[in-house]
Amino acid sequence: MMGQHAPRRAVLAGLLAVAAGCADPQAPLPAPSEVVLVVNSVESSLSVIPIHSIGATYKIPLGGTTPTPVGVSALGGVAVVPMGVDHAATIVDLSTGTVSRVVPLADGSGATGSAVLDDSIAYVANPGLNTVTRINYLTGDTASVAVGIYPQGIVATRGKIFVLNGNLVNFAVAGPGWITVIDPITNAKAEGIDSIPLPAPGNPQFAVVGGDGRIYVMNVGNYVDEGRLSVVDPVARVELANFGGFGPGPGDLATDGGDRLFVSSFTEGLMEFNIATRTLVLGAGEGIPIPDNSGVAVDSDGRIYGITAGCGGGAGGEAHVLRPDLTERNVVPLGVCAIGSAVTRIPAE
Amino acid sequence: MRAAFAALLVAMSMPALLAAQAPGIVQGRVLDAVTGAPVTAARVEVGSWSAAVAADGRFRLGGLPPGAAVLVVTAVGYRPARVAIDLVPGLGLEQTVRLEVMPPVLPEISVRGASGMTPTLDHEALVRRGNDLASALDGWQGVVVRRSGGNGPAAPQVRGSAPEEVIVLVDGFAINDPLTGRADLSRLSTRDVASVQVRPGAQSAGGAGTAVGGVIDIRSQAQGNAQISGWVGGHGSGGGTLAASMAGGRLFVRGERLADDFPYLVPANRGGGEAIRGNAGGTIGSLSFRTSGAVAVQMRASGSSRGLPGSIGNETPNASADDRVGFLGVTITGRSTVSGSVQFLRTRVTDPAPPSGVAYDATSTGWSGTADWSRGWPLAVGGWHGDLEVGAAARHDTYQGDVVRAGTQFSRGGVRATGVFRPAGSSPWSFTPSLRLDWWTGEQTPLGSARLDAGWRKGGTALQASAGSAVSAPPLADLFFREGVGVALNPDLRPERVAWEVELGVTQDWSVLGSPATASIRGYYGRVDDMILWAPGAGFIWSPRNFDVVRRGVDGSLNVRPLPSLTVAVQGAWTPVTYDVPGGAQVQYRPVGTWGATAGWASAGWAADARWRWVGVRYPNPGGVNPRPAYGMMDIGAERAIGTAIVRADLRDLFDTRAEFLAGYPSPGRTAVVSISLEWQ
Repeated sequence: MMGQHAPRRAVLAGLLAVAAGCADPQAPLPAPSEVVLVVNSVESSLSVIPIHSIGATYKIPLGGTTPTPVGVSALGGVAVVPMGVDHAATIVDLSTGTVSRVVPLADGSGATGSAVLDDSIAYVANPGLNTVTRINYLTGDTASVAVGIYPQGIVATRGKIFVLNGNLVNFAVAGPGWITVIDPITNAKAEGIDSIPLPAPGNPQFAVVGGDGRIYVMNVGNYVDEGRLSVVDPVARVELANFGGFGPGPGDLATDGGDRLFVSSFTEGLMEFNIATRTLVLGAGEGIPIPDNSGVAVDSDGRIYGITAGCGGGAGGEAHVLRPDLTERNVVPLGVCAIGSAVTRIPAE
Repeated sequence: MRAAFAALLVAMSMPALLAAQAPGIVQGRVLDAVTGAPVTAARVEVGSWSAAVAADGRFRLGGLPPGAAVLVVTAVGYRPARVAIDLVPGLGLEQTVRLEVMPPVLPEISVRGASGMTPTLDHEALVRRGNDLASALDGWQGVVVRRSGGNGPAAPQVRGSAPEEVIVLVDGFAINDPLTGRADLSRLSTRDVASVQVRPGAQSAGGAGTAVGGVIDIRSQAQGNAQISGWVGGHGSGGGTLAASMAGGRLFVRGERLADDFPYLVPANRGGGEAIRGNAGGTIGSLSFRTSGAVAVQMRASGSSRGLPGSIGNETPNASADDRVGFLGVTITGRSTVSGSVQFLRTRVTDPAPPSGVAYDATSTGWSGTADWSRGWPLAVGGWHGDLEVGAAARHDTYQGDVVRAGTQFSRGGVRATGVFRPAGSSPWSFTPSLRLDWWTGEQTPLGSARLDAGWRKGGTALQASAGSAVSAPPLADLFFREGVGVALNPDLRPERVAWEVELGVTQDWSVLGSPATASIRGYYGRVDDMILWAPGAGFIWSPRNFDVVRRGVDGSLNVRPLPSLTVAVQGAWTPVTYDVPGGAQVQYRPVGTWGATAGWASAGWAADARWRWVGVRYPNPGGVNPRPAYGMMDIGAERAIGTAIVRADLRDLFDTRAEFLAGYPSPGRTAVVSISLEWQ
């Protein structure tokens, strides 16, 4: 048998050698395609907005039986969507536009909040179990570690996982929240300071790493009292300052990588905070009037995507694409109840 | 008693007795047993053939298979009559039926369907379709049953409605839970039911103001021989019933143990494979007693203790629900009809160790009282004659407990007028107008509903055209639930309305080579304003919210008897119900398509039947993505009459599809059931 295959292999090797000889080893790799991802919660799908051809926006169904996804994290061509009371994390291969894996989590997980750490590891918060789960999204292997009460958001920076503990009991704010710091290598609480207190009104839900390397955490509160923005030093693991002026129930955050930090709000529209001067540029009462503003994202060209949830039956949400001067450029239709967004670059094949 | 017993036996062996090929005819009159006046709103049926009654009370049913049969006559306000008849090939049988007054049944609603278009299932067909009405009606004539858990409460949806938009009447009294607005069909045994009719669409004009989706009209077994039955089935299920006539009334007792620990297919996002679904079982018991006459009394009590196993992807192995319902209704008939009822409901749901970790133990208790008055007059104006009925109804509900706010009370009242009019002479036309005005707590102005049915019948052809509107108050659960983080009351919640709906249908009877057949098709188009659905709003906080919806569709059926011993029926419904926005998606959990087929054969004491039902894809969200898979199930059964006993064996879900029911609950898969029933005078 081996003799019969030997000539064929020789021909194949020759063809490969010729092909290799023809390729230009100095040629640049194809440019990755940058996309904005938006989770459509009630319909359980992921809208993918190519930033340079937004007319080609498409949706990827996420499936599930009783899904309640409200957030997405991404790195390269992989997106991770915690599926809420489906108690699972859905892994999306953005290069093929398909769900590549569904990772079951423990019963009662209520998976909410995630972060992709590297090319194989992601973390998902389980608010129903007071744990976070490290997921190898290539193999589906999982390992969980206890954190604080009602973890609902995760940020990965400086080699550590920062978990936002909402401190909700029976879905009510029980007091100020805090951050638990996890070392992803040991999958245990980090050495040194492993807990960072956060201020009232509590219920920290959203966080982003700013252009200054610090973590900006939104303490949402109970949707009645005014929310408050915390600035956290991820190295010293301490809250540096906190700021108000965002009105009740502020939401998701996004940064342009520089000084601009955008804050979405169902009640106030899209607001802006300058992280260099630590001043409100557009605070409560001054927000860009994006209706039902459930989220925000910023692409590498500085365009801002203000998300309208659009939970009305069948009507769907919208991404209001704003120029850096905050004038509206486009409106992109999304799915029903668009909430939670991320930006990533999908490597070329 | 003996005659009724004989009639029942004859009915059950009817196909075997049909030897001749030439069709038979039955004709006659339907009269009020007391006054002798024609009962113009009556309907006569023989098997799958039916007809309306003319203004002079006369009816005619032709093209019938010869042999022994049972003539069933029903009319609103009268006790149904069943008459054993023997049809001679080619000869007309004259039969006069006198109906006893049984007041309306409708403390709050009068159902007036147009002629020839009301699908009906009789007792025998119901028993063969399942032990309870939830099983028997699922997939029939566009009815889709939404279950909460594999064996949990099961409420019907009709014509793309929500379960709370369908009024279910048992002998005229609505059984919908005031709190949820839903009627639990799993509480009703098919062995206690004489017939079921479905009237889809905007039907509230003459009734309680809540039938935006339709009415399911159930007539219980009012008389008959004593009967006892028992059955055992797979997965630990079993039960029994007892029926007897005593003290001038009819007693019915039921006890049932529900299937548990059955295999099901675990969805991929929960790891896939097969697992055993536990906590799905439980027990249901009920007792009813009813009398008839000038003063008719209905008493019902039921209790259940059932596991709440959770959805197919969200198992809750420790959750359970205990329900208690007590009902007393009285109807007094004289020149006017006066009826009233009082109902007690108690529900306790617990989960000491839910997957979310937040244990709960919630109890709610409710009382409901109704009162209704109506009176009818014959009318003859300008060459038209008919009947006019006017009525008034009132209802009060009060609830307390852990799931509703303190002081939850809701009152409503309404006045109505309904008529049936025909041109003088033997006109094929009939017109049924209805008007209703409702008031209820929180509404400042009366809300009106109107409907007009026009019917035309000549020979074997019946046409129907309708236009109607309807209105429905929000269920108490949407108005008075306890708020929390993530869920909030909606102070702007508006009642649901069918602003308008039009309907056109045709029914055709014919006979080919002596084989009678009936075909029916009906199309409709309507707009539902402010349908109430739960959805998140500002801050991603969930509330009941109003959405405009368009519903349209076609449903049809075909009944044939290709052989004297063989009957075949096929029916289907195509029901697009979409949000009224450009490109609006199908409303969640409303299958676009349903269809079913049944075949029955009987000969020489043996009978066999098969039933196929198919429920199409439905979407768990308003985005029209992630459809839940369609499912089709086949049940087969065979029975043998031995003396006064009937032994029956069924195989439910023959192909073991282990389907995911409408809203994501696993079904038990293939299940064998063996039953025996005995009947005596």
